[in-house]
Amino acid sequence: MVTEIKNSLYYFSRYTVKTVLTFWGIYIGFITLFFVLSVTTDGTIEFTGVNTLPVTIFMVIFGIMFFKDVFPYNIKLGISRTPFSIAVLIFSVILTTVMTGIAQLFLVFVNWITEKFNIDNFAFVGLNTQFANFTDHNTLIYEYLVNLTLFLLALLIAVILFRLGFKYGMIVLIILPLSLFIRSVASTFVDWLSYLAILHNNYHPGFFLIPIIGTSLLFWFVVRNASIVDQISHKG
Amino acid sequence: MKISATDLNKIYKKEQALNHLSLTLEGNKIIGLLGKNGAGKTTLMRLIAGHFQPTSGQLEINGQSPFNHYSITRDVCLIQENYNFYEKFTIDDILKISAVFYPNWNASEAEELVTLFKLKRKRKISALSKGMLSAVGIIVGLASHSPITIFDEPYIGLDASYRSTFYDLLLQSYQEDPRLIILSTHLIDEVSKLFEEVAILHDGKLLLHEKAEDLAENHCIVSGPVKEVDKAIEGKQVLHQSTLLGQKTAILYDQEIDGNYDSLTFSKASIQELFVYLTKEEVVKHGDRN
Repeated sequence: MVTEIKNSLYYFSRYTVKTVLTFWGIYIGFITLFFVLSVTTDGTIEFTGVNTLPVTIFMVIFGIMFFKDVFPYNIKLGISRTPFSIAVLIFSVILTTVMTGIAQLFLVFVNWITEKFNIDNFAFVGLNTQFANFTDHNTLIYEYLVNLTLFLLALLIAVILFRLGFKYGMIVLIILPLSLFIRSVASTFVDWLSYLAILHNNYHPGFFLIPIIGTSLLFWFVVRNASIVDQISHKG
Repeated sequence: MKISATDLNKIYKKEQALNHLSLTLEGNKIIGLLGKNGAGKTTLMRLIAGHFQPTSGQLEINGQSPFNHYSITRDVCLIQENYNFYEKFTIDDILKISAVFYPNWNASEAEELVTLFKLKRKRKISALSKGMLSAVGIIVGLASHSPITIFDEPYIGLDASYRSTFYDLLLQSYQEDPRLIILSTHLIDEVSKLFEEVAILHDGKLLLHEKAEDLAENHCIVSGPVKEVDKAIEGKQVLHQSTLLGQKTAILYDQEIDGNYDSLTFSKASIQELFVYLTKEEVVKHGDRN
């Protein structure tokens, strides 16, 4: 099983590196452009950038694309489904660490530049600067947990659609949003969410383990006997 | 390696791809898996590679199901007509990944084949022509040296010259490293000399599984006047018969003609001709190999 997990992780890395580099290339280029504009226009343009959101959006979109692009080919290369699922979980942790880490480094670097050169009209903020004044909890851990949870949720949505097809997949996926129209369900859901909201009194980072473990188990449950034929595109 | 299918069924929604198929493929040999479109060949090959589970029945490789068993599937390399590789990868990516995943991968052989097929390693899979894509599949299939190597119509888009090269390479590879190679193709005449065994599927069932040599020897084409042919083939196992301008042609399998028939001509058919006769709908429906 160890060989299978190692091989899968190697495949994932080859699949991911270019995409991650492209994302950061575009993002850093974009921020640099605004940074240069702010400096050269000498105060006539004020720019406030948010570092966290693009990474979170990337994690969701990448999670949706990732499964259909790697699962069939890994199985074709002989990998069994349970080691594949374990490799996906390990990869999720590594990817989240890398993406959150780069985001923080970039934030620190940009803020260091602005301070060093006394640039007043360029502000670049992350979750830590937004929430740090309102909570005692570590905002970096929070950002990490949000990214990991959303990536796993996106993977789960992708695997359900892959396995069940668009029609039946959407029926399954729409159950939760539709059930929120029932007042008692919506109330319970909001209560549960409060345990994951950093500014709420109920919050504790440990509560993130529940959705993380839950989505991971559901992912494995759907994948463990899955055919490699994509029920949406019928490719495979 | 021994592949053993027992009462194997595969149903896709309402379509039955394999219908109570029982078949055993064993030993190091090149086996031709033949059948018309929709006969169930690809489904059988994909079940062997563990792509999905059978609906019912058993499929075992060395006594174990290939589905979710790495000890089996690491030794299987299936090269299909398409969707073998993630299209945003380059040829270089594919070769590096294959080197990691296939335990018997021969990197120098892969390198030689890339040169032979004039491929550029930095080109993306999505940018390759059909012929080039087939060449990449052939390279991976051959260089994998998997104990079970399966080619399912691997040469779509390849010209006759490269196809001939592929047959030579396949034979050479087999001679250097004997293993179980299953080749599914519609270009039977081109490859029939490579086959040691032939299995023909029809409507998800096994129609015939013979040694290629026996198949070539144990059949007979009888032609001549209708009455004479009818008399000669009476009560025999007839694969196919047709009449034109008072002359009748019948193909017998594993049967001998008794008596003297001076007016009749006896000859042999190629495997491709036999395949056509065997799988023609009217033969199966009405003749059922009599």
